Amino acid sequence: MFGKRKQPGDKSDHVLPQDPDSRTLTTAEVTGDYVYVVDEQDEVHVLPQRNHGHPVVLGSGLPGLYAGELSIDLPGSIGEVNNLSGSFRFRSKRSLCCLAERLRVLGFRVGELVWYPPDGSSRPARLSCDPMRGYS
Amino acid sequence: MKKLIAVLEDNEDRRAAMSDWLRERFGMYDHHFTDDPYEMIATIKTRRSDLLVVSLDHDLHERPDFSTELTGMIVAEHLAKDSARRTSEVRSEVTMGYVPVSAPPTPNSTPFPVILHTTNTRDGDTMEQMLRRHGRHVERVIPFDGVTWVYKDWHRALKRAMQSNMATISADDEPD
Repeated sequence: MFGKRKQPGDKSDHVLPQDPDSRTLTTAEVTGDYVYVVDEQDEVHVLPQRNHGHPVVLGSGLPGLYAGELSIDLPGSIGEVNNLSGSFRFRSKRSLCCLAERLRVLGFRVGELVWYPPDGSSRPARLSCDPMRGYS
Repeated sequence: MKKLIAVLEDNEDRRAAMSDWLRERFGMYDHHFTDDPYEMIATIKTRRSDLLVVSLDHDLHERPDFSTELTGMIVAEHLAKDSARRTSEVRSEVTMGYVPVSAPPTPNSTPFPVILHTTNTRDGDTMEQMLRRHGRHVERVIPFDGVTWVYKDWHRALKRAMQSNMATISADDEPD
């Protein structure tokens, strides 16, 4: 399961509406770099990579369960997914594993999970999830 | 201590875009900007163990003094000399019968990677070859279209650089 929900950190972002390019992620999504936010129903929403993108993926200050970036190398294949979001700053490693499981359920092949330490004390690291554990 | 991303850049628009991007996406790390290659070298010396990545421009003509003498090449040459000196120290230890470095290379002992973000292809090539010859991981970015490249190519290069020699950690080492 994902951890506690969070709103975008900057209150001035709470008035921003959802971006019209924001959509629910499916395996039909084209190759490219995206920012994503997982909503309270565990749906993954994406927006093409852009500056200050996370607050407008859901918009209106709606809370998310996890957020970061993902890259689609080929339709249906995610090269990397990470927890990089200055607006949400999620830190849970298990939630990143939970997201990977969710993406596989959606039909994606998932490449590397990269976790960035929220305290900035170290380099990013490749995340290993226990396949026997079950994170969802 | 937070890890550090250091950038040598003279153009105000680029600095603003890079700084804004780093604050938004890599706000967990320290950021240092300068248009002075010698200040960059001083930062490298004082915070070597904290350095996550260094991004270097070559031409610094937009400095207040319009200098054509001060360039990113000065920093590249320092890094090359520094790598050569460290390699030589390890070889001396071998000659004297010491085990050079007992532990295998780790992400913390690997020289920090360098991004070259310059439109000066010829001097960028020279910097790249010099740094690669001395074992540095190097990424090249060609600035284009105002500052759009910052959010696209530079961001990808930052991630590739930071993820070079990346360690693997378990998701289950955090408390429930």
